[in-house]
Amino acid sequence: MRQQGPPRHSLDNTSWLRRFRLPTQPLLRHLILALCGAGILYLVTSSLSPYNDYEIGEIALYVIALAGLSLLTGMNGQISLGNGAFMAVGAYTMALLMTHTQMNFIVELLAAIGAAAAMGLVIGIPATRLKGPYLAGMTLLFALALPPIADKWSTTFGGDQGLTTTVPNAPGNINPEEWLAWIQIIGALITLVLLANLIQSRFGRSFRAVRDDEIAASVAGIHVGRTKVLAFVISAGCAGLAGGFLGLSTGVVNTGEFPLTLSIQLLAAMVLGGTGSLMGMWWGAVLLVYLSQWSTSLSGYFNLGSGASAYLATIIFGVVLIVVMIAAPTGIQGGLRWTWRRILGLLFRQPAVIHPASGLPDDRVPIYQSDER
Amino acid sequence: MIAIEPEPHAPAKSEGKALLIEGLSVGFGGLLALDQVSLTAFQRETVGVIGPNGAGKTTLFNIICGFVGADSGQVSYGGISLLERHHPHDLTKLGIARTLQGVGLFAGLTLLENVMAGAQAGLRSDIASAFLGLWRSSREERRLALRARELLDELGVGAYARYLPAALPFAVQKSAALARALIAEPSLLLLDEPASGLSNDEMDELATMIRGLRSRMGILLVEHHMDLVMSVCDRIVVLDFGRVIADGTPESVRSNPEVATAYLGDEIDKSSGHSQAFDDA
Repeated sequence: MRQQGPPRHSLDNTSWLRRFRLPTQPLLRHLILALCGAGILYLVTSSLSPYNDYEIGEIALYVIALAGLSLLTGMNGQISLGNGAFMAVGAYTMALLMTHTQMNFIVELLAAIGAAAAMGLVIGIPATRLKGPYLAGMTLLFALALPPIADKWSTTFGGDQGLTTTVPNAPGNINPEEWLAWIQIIGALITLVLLANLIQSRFGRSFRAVRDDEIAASVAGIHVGRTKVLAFVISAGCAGLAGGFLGLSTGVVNTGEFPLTLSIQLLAAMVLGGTGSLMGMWWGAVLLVYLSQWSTSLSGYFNLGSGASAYLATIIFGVVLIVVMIAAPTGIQGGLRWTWRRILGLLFRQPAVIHPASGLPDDRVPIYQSDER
Repeated sequence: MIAIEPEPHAPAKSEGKALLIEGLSVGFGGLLALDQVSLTAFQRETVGVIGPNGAGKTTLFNIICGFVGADSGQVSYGGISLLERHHPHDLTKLGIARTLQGVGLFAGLTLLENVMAGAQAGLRSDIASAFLGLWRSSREERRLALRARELLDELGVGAYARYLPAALPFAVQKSAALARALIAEPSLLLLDEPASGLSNDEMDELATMIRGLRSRMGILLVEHHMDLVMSVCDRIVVLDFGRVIADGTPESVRSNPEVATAYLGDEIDKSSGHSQAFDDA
């Protein structure tokens, strides 16, 4: 179905980059990308120290939470300030099962996803009637209301001490940090593949149609309410898995791990990475994990008091957010895509026609998708 | 632009699905938007609904679509009531498709995806195969993409398939909006001011296309542009202040003095039985 254009010079040695194409079949395409990602991460984790591996695992778990939020906000146009609380639901579910039962580790993780998704259903149904700041307010209330519940029934939820979690034993002589990092990386890659597939399906199109125009979507035969609830449930499920993984990283699950600022930081990191993008969530997660560390070392360098250093991370996060939004309004991923396009344009004299949604040259956009992930 | 030849046809008055509206009334506060409106659109009949601004034309469409509830009366299509437990997203399942006033395209979807979105209700792939990206889901998507592309080609805007609507000329956007309605393969097409914002040439193309469509489906057309309504409709219903003041062939409506009064007010010479209103429009 490609349009007839001027004949292409297939022997042109500058066009090799443009002739390389990933398959458009979603599963094949995203599995190839995930395997490439796994390869890169394997090289990184095996060459770094165990502590760095631990951090990479944290990045991977935040990617899961951010990807769910990116789907909800970027693809479906709903804002949630409650995804930190959904993470808490997942973490507590997993920790409770670890404390009281001897289930398989995978089953415990699936239960964490299921519990958070079920909570997402409960919150998502009334949320379909709210928009913008009202929706944000409602989800914020949910994030505020959840921690006191854990404090109230402290015998069940462990109170301030929280509940302990255990990572399954590492096979062979792999060190525990690397093993945990790989559990989290595999979880992140599977999540990204599943979400990327979904976005490229009829459900992804419904999400975006509802985001753009609810009336036109309903006339087109899309059940607006059901679509919005589905996005909310998927986003909450992702947060649940990320919460379970965070519980594994910290070793204990208590309310202190899931403060209100977590939800807000998730939203800010999602915007930084590139709202609606999945790949961009890696940048958001890197900033989420490393910015607080850098700020700690920075406050040590300048001999700031403990009070000032506590706020420094938040300040730096805010400054980075402002700078990125001025330099690249579509987030880091959008800025990178724009830069890459310019480089290609300089090197290969790309055609002037650029697909507006993805930033890809017109003839490289797969026929049935537009939003680049 | 359109290569569809108008075929000789006669509206089927006795068989098939018909849109029946009887004694329909709806008020907003103290204002009666529709007052005892009765209207029938038989299968493969093109019915124009005209009237001055505020006459209730769009309210009528909104009731058919389920956006607005009625106070009294009956609306049914093919024997199925469109008033009870009727939601906008059920429309395409009943065989009714609608274009919206203006353009109403999805701004973040390419033209192709916009058209694909119109067939959403007919898709069968389940959520599991969508999550896993299985061929069951992607084959259906590919088939739909090809069908949407064909439809865009048929309407002469296939070259713009990969573009976002905002970057495109208005007439192209309008064609895509029509394609989005047509891809659901409706038996009744509701067109809400399809000619607004089009040039004269583009309007001629639109008229040719509507004539080409009417052998395939019933069409209910709300439009201000008289030339278009007069040239494509089998029958015209005139609304004024929520009431039906005329219902008949274009010729009979054109020569109806009450219609002229509604459009131009009382100054017009009623005895002439013919007004400048339509000739100028």
